[in-house]
Amino acid sequence: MMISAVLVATLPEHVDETRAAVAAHEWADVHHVESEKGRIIATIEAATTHEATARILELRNLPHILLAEMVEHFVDDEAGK
Amino acid sequence: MEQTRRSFLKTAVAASAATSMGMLVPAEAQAKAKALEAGWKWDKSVCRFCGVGCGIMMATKKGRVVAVKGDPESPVNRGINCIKGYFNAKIMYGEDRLTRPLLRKKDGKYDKQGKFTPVSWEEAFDVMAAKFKEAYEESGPSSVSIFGSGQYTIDEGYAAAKFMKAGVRSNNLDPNARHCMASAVAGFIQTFGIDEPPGCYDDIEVTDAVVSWGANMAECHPILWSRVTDRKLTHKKTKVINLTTFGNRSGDLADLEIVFKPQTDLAIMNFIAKHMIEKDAVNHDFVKKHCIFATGPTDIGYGLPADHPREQGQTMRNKAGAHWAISFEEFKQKLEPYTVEYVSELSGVPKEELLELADLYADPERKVVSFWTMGFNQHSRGTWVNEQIYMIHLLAGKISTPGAGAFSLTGQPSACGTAREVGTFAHRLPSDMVVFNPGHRAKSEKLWKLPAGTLNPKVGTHAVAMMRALRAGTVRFFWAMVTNPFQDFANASEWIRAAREGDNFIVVSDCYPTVSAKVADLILPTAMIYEKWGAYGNAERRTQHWRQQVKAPGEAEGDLWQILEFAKRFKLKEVWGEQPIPGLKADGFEDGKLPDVLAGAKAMGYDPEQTLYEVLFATDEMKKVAWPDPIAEGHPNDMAEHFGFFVHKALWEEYRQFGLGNGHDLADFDTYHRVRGLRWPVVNGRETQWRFKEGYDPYVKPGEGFNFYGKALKKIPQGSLKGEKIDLAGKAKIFFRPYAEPAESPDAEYDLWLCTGRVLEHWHSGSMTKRVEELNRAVPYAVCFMHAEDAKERGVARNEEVILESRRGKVKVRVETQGRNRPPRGLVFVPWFDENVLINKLTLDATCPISKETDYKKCAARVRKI
Repeated sequence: MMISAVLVATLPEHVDETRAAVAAHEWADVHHVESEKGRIIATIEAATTHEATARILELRNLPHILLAEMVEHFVDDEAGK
Repeated sequence: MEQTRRSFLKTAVAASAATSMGMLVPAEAQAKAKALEAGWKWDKSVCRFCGVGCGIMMATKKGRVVAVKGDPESPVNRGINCIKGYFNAKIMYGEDRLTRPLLRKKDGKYDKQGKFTPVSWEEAFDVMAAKFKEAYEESGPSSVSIFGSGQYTIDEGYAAAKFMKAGVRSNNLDPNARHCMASAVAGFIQTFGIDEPPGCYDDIEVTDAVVSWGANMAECHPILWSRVTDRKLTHKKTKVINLTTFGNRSGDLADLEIVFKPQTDLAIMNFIAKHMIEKDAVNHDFVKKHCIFATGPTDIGYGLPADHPREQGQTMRNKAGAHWAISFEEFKQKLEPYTVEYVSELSGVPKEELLELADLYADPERKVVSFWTMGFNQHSRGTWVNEQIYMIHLLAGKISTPGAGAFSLTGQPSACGTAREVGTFAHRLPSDMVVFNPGHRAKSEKLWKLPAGTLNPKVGTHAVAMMRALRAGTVRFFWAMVTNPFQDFANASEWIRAAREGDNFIVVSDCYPTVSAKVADLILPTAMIYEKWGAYGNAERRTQHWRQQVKAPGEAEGDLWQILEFAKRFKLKEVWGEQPIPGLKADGFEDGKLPDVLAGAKAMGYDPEQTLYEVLFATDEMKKVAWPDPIAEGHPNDMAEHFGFFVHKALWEEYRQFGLGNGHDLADFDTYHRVRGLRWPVVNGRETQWRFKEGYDPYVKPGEGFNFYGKALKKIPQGSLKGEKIDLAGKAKIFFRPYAEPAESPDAEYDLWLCTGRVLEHWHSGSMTKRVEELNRAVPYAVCFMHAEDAKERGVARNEEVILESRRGKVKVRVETQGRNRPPRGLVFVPWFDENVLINKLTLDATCPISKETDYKKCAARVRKI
């Protein structure tokens, strides 16, 4: 089980729409939004890092998204690589 | 996982991330973030991959890396990482990591045709030293070579340079950075007289326009691109233009994407300059005070062997870099042919796009930053095109000031810090000095405590020449470190054959069994970045140090350890006697010979029986630099334990003496462990953001405004090569360079342009990123991006495997007509990370004749249906 924090950037006029589009995925939650700069911090839940990567790519392909980059990554099993 | 813990973790991770981004986070969420990380030991470090130089934070627990994140305190990436950066820890844990030296053996003995057999370090170095000395004793210093890297840590590169140049007196040390930014270097030296960019990344946040030339920053420099994105979102005036030979991801953000025919960037630049002059957008005051116009010969060839048909009639191929001063009138006249009509037809770019681009540079109210990478540098006129971008910025006076500048991005993490600043090139010494300058040799001999006449004044073999020498049998010992040459070199099959079939000995130091390791006779298992102390220098002159975080697996050892241990096997009497150097001609030297300096050495207190290790790396002064040291803050240092003193710090303190007062000032070792890197020159503890500009650069005096104080090539003839020499101290050169045909173009037989490059998920030859399962799954193999109509015309479908071939070789590759790269008709793009699609079998080993950097972006190829 791993949780990744992702920075999503969009144009300020698309923030609300983008926020909703990200949150519509059952594996994603929106935590912080900075409307005037078009920045959103979301978390992604995934079983493997491969799944996490695929899910970030999925966010990146949403309309109006200029950037979706992993900012922090946490593996609940600390012994993992 | 229970719901409350899951929710706690999400809040904690999101809070930590948002804090990194400088966003406001409620106190309760911040507390959760802190609780999550209890028991981890965090330390600052640097990303292993590209030249951007992002800071990362690495958490260790019980000798393993448990977490990696972007460093929020890093001024470069401000807490974010690209997808590769986040996998930095995983590159160390590939299943096929090399952990023992492997030597080709048959019947218990070394045999070039033998099988790789695990051996001790002792045996490895015994055979390696014997093979080195066999070549050296027969043919002298010119017969041995080290092929180094822009991924060497600074201390590794410094030790390699000192071992080769001061120790065994050979200048046959050249880095893979020759393939990466040698054209940028030549452009800097010819224009400014000193290497590396005037500006820095801080330009991005204050500019009004970003023009990217021959780069795909969205994929190859994603963190800088995120800063460009941020600027565009928060500053409405910002314009972004992407100039490229095929549509790519950087175009997604751009206001305008200009797709031009390969090589015509040379003509586009000249059109912009002509347009600026016609619109009177030249900053005459700036140009008059700080610049001079120059040009050089045109028939300079393509860096191919002398008997190649393309080299015939190229009378100035041996004087390619020579140049002379011209008048503004002459400069203007030379630009005359580059009308919008001519350039539009040549480049395939619509006139209105050319005008929009030129107007952006010409607008006095708009600050512009130009970025470029391999599209410029890997170019058969790479030096010229680098000089042309300065031509435009200097004409407009848009340089060396916040928000306005021409910035050469780099591809490797320490192409600047190690390859360029240390000078691990065949012609260079530390701090922009060169082997053929007697004053520079004398200064280096003094700092290195060598008898006069030790250093070899003859330029060694540059990268491509080194491979050709291997083929000719004149180089017989070849040691590759932190690089994968047999995958990386253009026309690869030639060099693989030369290595495997020639009378030579190939050593490869690597962490994984790369193509080059498999070609080698001896493989040395090598410690990776976080398994040793080190420092890198990024593209904006920022030097960043890190501490060892974890231990290397098995018997793997760092490159520095390998160089120092190897140096123990050489006695002064074996290398400091008279040595033959075929072709050497220099003042103060007998033709073809390096003098015996053993008497001089004795006079300095050296003993001929002493080893190079003792004389170069473990001097009494160096051994005084003690380990343990409080700056380690509890982190290990396996190398210091082994050698008995703090080797990295001792080498650093010696190395930085070269740059002090010389425009390359670096801070002391400990300072770098207290900051997130500093941009040189660092004078009185202060870094320099904008060089050459009064108020920012300590080398520019009050009242000067600007001073382009670089010292190299500042005395040039006027009017022609035979003209009287003039002194250009303090000035930059505005070069006129004409359009020139590419070395090879598509024709009836090979009808497509082949361009090679990188993708986001993989770095360089893939030797590290291919070991990270997630990155490898995301992009498991290289594909051939091509236009759908081109595919249709050849009867091939998307995902179909085809033969892609050139006059030099062929590969099997799948066709991709969709996705991130969108070539125009007539061009295909294939990334080079995949050893199973060894695309460099097809590329041509033509180089820029000035910089000797290979053009990997242009050759002729064809697609054949299977």
